[in-house]
Amino acid sequence: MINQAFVGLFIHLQGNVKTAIFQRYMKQAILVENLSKRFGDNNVVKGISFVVEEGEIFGFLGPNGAGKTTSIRMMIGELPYDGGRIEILGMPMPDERETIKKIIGVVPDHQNLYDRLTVRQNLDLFARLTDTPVERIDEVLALVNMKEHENVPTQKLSRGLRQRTLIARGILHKPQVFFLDEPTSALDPHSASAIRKLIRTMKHQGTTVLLTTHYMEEATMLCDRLAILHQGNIVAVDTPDSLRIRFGKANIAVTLKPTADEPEKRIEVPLNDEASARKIERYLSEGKVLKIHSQEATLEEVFMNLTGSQWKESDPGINQ
Amino acid sequence: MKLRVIWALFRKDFLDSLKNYQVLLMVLTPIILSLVFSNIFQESKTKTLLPKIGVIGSPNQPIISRLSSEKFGVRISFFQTRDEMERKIIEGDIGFGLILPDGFSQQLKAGKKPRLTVVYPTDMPEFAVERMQTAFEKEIRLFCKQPIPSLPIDLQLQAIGGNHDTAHAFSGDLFPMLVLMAMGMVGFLGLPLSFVEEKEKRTLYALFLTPTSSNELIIGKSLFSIFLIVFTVLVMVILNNRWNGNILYFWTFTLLGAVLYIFIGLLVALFAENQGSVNAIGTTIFMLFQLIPNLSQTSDLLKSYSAVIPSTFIARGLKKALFLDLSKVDIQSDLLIVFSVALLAYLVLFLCLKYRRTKI
Repeated sequence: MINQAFVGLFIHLQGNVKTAIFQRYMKQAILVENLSKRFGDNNVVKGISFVVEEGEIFGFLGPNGAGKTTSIRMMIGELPYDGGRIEILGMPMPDERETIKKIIGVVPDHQNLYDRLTVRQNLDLFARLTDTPVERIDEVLALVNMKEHENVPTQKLSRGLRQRTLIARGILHKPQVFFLDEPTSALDPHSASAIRKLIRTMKHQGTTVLLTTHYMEEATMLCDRLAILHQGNIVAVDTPDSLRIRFGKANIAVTLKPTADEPEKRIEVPLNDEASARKIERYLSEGKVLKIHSQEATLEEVFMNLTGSQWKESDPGINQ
Repeated sequence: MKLRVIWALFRKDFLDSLKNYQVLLMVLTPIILSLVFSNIFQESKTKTLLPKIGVIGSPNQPIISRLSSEKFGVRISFFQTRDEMERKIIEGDIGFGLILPDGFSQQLKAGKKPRLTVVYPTDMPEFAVERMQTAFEKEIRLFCKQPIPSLPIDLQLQAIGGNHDTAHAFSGDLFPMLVLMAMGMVGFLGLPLSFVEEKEKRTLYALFLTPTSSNELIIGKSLFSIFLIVFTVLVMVILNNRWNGNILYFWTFTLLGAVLYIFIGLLVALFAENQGSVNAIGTTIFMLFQLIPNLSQTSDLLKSYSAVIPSTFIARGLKKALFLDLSKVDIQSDLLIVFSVALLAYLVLFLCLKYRRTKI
């Protein structure tokens, strides 16, 4: 009973403390309130609300058609919304769109580079458009490790290198808020890993990052907090740990000592359950317990619990 | 408006075009055509050009020698039967045919009145038939040493309003049409194709995410196309030695025309879904803008239609600037019309871009 309570309390506190710290000390980089968007009869985004704090990596998690890209397009001012409110660093979108454009960077879900131009020529164009000193190009080329490819036309680059070029373009003007729409989608494990490292570097440099992803494990590894989108609704927002605790069915795994009749045995019982607690207490009092540890739910289980649907996307090279 | 942004967009299109064969094709086509036309339709050739003719009759007759002489300048094919010759005329292998009875030349010399039958295709224009008849009458009178009867009046033909000798030459007449073609190739096809390529590859979306205004985007995208048109026309002018006429007006019409074509092209690009629809819409507008001004003299109906086609006024302005004495013709009103339409096109484009950019 004591063990169960302790484990549960610890995990709950871990998530809640993180959230509380964000809310208390950090400023809002992105504020979205009751945001909605309709395409004809199709209600794509249904009044979502969330806040992204400065310096945070915030993940939008959801399958295709959940409304992730539409939400991002509204946040960056490329798509008008039907209802609600968006603020980027305190400035309302779209009223302050032109100012906001100067402080945001975007990596879209499609690789929209000028194919016939080289990497450097692509970056040079956007440096000029954003009034960024040309010397900055060398900095970002080094940051994304693309120096040796700078004079190659982008159509001759691999998908991973093109994605790195897109990120270089997005961070060229040192944005304060960086939007990445499925940055590792369809990349090989090595490229996906390089992109994740870059995103972490961005965070360490103080940039707020909002990214969308299909991949649960990627979201867990990268994001400080996550919003799970399902059919245009946010069904949950929290830290990855808290989400697993709040919405997953965590278990306690108990390994029993081997006896003369039976070999070593492992049993799993649900956390936060009276019967489980009594069972574990009995094993403990009988001196049968060899090991005891909590077993948290995965994000996939969380998603299934929240939406009732099966996750379909598979993730390339998450362990890289 | 920031010149830095406009220059960046111009520079990008310039660098991109160096690796794009479509741009090369658009620049070279009007240039090559201008060279071909000026070579084919040289003044010396166009004045005496007659089609290839067929003859049924003896090749040894002096009248035949005269017709095939260098002065008359026609090539003659001989036929045994009328059916064979008619078939060749209908198929377009020869322009028309002469049927000469045996001893035609001798009968003519003897002062008899032999019959000369000329057969021609029904689709030959009336003015061509008249010209053919006049040419034969003149040649036969000369052959018979018969003086041409004097007219009861003193007929004088005076060309007016021209300021250059080449104004009558067919190649000169074609030049404004080729300038329109250069504008159309780039304005109605090249630019919209490049714009729609940007839409399809979503690079335009990336541009919209930068602090680039609609105005800067319009001007930046247009600037390179204006450069291409001016470059093409300049090469045409140099290669064909067309420095005659009023250069200032010529280039004013070229520039204004280029701007108008480009704005219309950008409108096409804004609404076209893909490169296929640019080809369909762009080619249709291109043909209307190219053909109607050039054919407007052939019928009253086309002439009335041409009044609503802006290229009519560009072509007219170019023609006036190149060939006519501007102290005797009104070029200002053409200029004003072209300027007004270009301004209107710009306003429509600006509004469309402003309100449609979220749909791109």
